[in-house]
Amino acid sequence: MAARLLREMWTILTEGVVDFLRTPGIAVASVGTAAVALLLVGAYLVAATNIAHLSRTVSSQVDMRLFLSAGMRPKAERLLAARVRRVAGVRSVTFISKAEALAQLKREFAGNGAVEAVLAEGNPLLDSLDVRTASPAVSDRVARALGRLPGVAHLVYPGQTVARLGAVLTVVRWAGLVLASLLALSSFLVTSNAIRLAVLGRRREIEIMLLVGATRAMVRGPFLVEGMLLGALGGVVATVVTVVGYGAVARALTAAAPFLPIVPPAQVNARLAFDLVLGGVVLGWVGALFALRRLIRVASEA
Amino acid sequence: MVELVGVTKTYPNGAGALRGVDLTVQDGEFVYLIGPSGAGKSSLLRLLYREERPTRGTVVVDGVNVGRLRPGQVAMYRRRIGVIFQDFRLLPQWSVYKNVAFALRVTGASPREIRRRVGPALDEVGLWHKRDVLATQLSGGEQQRVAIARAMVHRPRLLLADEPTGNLDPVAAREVHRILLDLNARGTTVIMATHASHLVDDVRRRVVALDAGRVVRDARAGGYAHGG
Ligand SMILES: Nc1ncnc2c1ncn2[C@@H]1O[C@H](COP(=O)(O)OP(=O)(O)O)[C@@H](O)[C@H]1O
Ligand SMILES: [Mg+2]
Repeated sequence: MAARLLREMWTILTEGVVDFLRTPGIAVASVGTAAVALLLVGAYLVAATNIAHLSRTVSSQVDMRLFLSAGMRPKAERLLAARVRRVAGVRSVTFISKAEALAQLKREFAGNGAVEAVLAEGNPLLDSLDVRTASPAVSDRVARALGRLPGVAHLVYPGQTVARLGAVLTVVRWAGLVLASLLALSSFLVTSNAIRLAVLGRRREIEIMLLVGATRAMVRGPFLVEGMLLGALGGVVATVVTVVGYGAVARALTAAAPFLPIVPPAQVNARLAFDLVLGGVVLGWVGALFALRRLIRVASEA
Repeated sequence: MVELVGVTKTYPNGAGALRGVDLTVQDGEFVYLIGPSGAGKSSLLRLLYREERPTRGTVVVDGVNVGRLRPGQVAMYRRRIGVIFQDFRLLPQWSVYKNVAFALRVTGASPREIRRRVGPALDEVGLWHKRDVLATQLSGGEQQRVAIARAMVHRPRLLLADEPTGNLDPVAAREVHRILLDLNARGTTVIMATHASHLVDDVRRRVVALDAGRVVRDARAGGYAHGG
């Protein structure tokens, strides 16, 4: 009994593959559409991962930085630091002299000729205060209070950047969702049409199968396998293109803007492959299921 | 073997194919189902192999209430009966052997079982020597014999034949007819729909005549009629 079941499954599997190979033109078309749809999903995943990573990086750095007016006396600076420390919601304040800031900048851009040349001409930086807040919730209020203090030249508040990144992330998420849904729909239609044609091409065979007592699983199985194969191959193509594409983009961005926190491709590739191939399999399976819903009955009556 | 009680079949378009048919076929009988085109012969057979369900009445085959079978049970049921048609329904691009083996393969039979069963089935219809010939390259009579081998490869106890000689010349028709009688002589119950009454006249067997969906005659040359 178990052997019989295994044989049935093997037959279903091989029939599915054979069926896939029988109409290469249709197979290529539906693998192609599935690949395009999944490619978009892949691009979306990469973009979303990076934006999330970026906003995490930014918010993990200093909460806000106050740049002090040029030419302020050390005593005035100490007084200002003391006032900042007393503002409600401030947890700690660190003084960073413009010399320290320059040294750090030089370390970060060691080897970058253009930056080094600018920094060699003199120190363009200002003294500053790094401020950490008690919680992100109070950051907005603290930023407003600190901005009003005399002697503050300007205030850099990454919270704004994080909020803006959050907005970008939302837009990317919705646009990606809408586009990916549309493409997934078209891919679903193409796949289910490919399966429909495969069923129609084999209607005599199906009719005979049903007549001699093949189970419905035996009749439908090969088409489900074919659909999942179409989707899985689409997923593989999409994975390859996304991985290669992201690798190139990441390399180029790292070379041009080394300070950008790019998620290392090696860190996302496995997840991408898993998501896209699984997505393809599900897409193909649903497409095939849809095509089979009524067709088998029609074929058996014809 | 077969029992129809008060069977009515009305198609969704309103066509009434069978009207209150009562019919009992004993194990081992050979029954000719005759009647003009449109009488309901094919409809009756379709009820027996569960291509259709009766609108009213019950259809019992070999202890199975066929009209009550759930879709998932139809496959197993069909392995217990054989069916052949006027148009043979072979896969033309396949060899004779593959056509017969197909019926076993799609039910998950092992390669050994397939080899063991296809040979005798083809022998029975005298076509083992043509096992590698494509179905399209056979004469009509030979194609019908392949269809019989395929129908019998599951060793069914009931064989349904819907106008099996309808497309054949008289010589081929007689050959196919003889094979069906042989199968019956070895124990298979056969129900054969036909309007070729000259075949029927040859042999003294039970004849059930349908007209406009009703049984209008049920006679057996040997004596007892109205078997039911
Ligand atoms: N699938 C169907 N749908 C609708 N009407 C049908 C169908 N099959 C048969 N009929 C009708 O049922 C009646 C009996 O047909 P059928 O059983 O094919 O008779 P026979 O085989 O004796 O020629 C005819 O009037 C025919 O038009
Ligand atoms: Mg008919």
